[in-house]
Amino acid sequence: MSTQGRPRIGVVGTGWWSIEHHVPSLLGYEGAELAALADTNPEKLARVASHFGVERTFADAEELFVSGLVDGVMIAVPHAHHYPLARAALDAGLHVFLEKPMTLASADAWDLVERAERAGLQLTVGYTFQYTRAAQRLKRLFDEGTLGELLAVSGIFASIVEAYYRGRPDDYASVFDFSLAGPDPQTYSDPKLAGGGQAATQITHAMGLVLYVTGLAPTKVMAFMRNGELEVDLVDAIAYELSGGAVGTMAAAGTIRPGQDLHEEARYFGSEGNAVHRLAEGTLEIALDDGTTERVALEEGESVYPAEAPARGFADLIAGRGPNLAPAVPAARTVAFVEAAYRSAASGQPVAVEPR
Amino acid sequence: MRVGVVGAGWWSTLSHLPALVANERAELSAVADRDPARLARAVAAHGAPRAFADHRELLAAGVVDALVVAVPHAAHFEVARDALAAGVHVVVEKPMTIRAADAWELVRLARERRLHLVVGYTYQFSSHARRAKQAFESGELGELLLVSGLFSSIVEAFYRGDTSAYDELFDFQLEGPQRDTYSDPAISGGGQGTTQVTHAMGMVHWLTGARADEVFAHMAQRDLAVDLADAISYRLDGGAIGTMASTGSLRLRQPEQQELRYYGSEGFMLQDIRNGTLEIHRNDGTSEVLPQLPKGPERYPAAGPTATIVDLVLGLRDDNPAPAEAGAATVEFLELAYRSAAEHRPITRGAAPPAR
Repeated sequence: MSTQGRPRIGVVGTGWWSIEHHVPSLLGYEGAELAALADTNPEKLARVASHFGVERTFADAEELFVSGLVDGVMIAVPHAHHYPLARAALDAGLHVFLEKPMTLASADAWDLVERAERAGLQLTVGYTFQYTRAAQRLKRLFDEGTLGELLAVSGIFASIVEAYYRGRPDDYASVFDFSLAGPDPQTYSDPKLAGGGQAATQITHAMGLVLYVTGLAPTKVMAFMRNGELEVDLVDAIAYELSGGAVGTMAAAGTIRPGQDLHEEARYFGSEGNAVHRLAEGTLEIALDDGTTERVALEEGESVYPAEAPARGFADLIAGRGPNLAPAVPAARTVAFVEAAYRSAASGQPVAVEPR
Repeated sequence: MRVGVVGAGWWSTLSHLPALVANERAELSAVADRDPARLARAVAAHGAPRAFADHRELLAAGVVDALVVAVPHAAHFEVARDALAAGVHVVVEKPMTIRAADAWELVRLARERRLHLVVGYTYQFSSHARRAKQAFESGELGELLLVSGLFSSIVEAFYRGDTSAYDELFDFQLEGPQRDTYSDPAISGGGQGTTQVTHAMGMVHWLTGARADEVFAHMAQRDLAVDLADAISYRLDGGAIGTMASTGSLRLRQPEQQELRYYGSEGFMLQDIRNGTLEIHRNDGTSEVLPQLPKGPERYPAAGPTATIVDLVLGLRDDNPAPAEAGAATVEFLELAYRSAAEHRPITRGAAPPAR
């Protein structure tokens, strides 16, 4: 690699999340070079490239992959397109950052895991929460076994998404900055593109984190879902079991309105103590059975959702400077969890997941 | 008004007996307990004029207008049924019964005899619970979509039959719990579900006025004879879905977490029963954040059930915040949950065993 200290990175997909976070993050980071952009929409691609002053652009991402211009790519396109693009990038020998959810089908997610392992390439997923201090402290808590045997997990993820599911993203122009581009109306409202609603788009955050920090795999999932008049699920109520026998719940609603508080929490109960992680507040409270307590609070200037961190983390990972804070195996397990939840809701029966 | 108490165990001697003695509209007229020593201690401490070894003798003596039933769970039904059959108003401790058919039989008997039947769901007697009930009656949350519940508590030692582990937590006056009251499933009906989830789901059933249509539960017992941690997903009639996570594994001095969150089409309500907070946030942008209830009787009105039965019978109030219908719906919910955990499949209400 010619550019070890400064990996050359291409960004595939110049939609709202890319241009709000990934592209400016790379441009503002001396440890990376933003080498090229790709998007199937030529008008959007030209506008974004001109806005950020990026010279090399590709209408066809696969041409970018074989161009020799980049060491790795960040793929931020509608969910249904994640798998074929990530596979092509890995097959071209590129390191891959893939937005969440990793894929829609678990077989595809595991296929990417295997391809990356075989080729010795980095594969990391856009789980931004995992870049926070609270999440990393929580991960260490499980790595060190401090909570003892995990008994139960309680999760809630109530967020501001309903207008996306309705195909009306502009309703949220007051909360998100869509100055350059907002989401395409169908990205989150069309189940063929999105793979679903609250589970595909939001539960993936919460369960991605649960499966990452615990290192456990889901074994059984029972989900109730409600779409209302939408084409995708708006509220979900899930009970599940993890390898090792822990039980858990996940409740999620996309109904929070702009201006209202988000409720994004996971609470972990073990045989030696418990931990309360409030994602939306960036806090972690640990209470151990020996009486020890610890609180991780948000520090001044620290973001509860450091959206610029994943792009720089990807560059550091390629350059060998940093760890993979959002590795592919727990992300693939999360895809399997969400897939099982949708199958369960459709069939009315619990769905077993082969632990991997 | 003459009130008797059956069962002179820890909760009676801690709450019901002193509450009745302090209630100027009530006269503690009789106590019954099958253990002569326990009975003698209660009579000496609280001054009941009549003492009986058996609730049937107490009822036959005709010395009570209302009866408080505070015996181990498995004995609730028989005592409450005999009291109603004798024309006596009843406060029955939670869980109302172990079997749903028995609970509905008590509902039927009370209706037929036009008797008041109050269930010992202490939290439902607070001013916050009253406001929460109003929120559902007024429809200000719109259509209920999702309920998320968490109930973590300090109970595990009771499930182990270790009744002295929590001496510093409860100020046991005359009695501690008996070893087998919570550890023997034949007496308790179960563990965390029967003893603790009943509090949370009692509140949900009362507030929403709903019954569960379908329930799925994962339960973890570890080395116990009863369930220690439960993860439940469910669907209510009316279409709302929900989750309930609960564990009894917390240790002394760890903060218990007892929270219910209700998401509707027009807003949401956050009810923290343990910390005495209630918030209502409507989608029209208005919010109501009630002042936190101080610790003690405002937050946990232990005298509520006895005061309410007295005032209902005397005609001083006409609302019952812990009505038998919601208590029976809660028993029904737990019966479905235990069956689901045993059979590893969701159980629909129609598939429940018929009333005997």
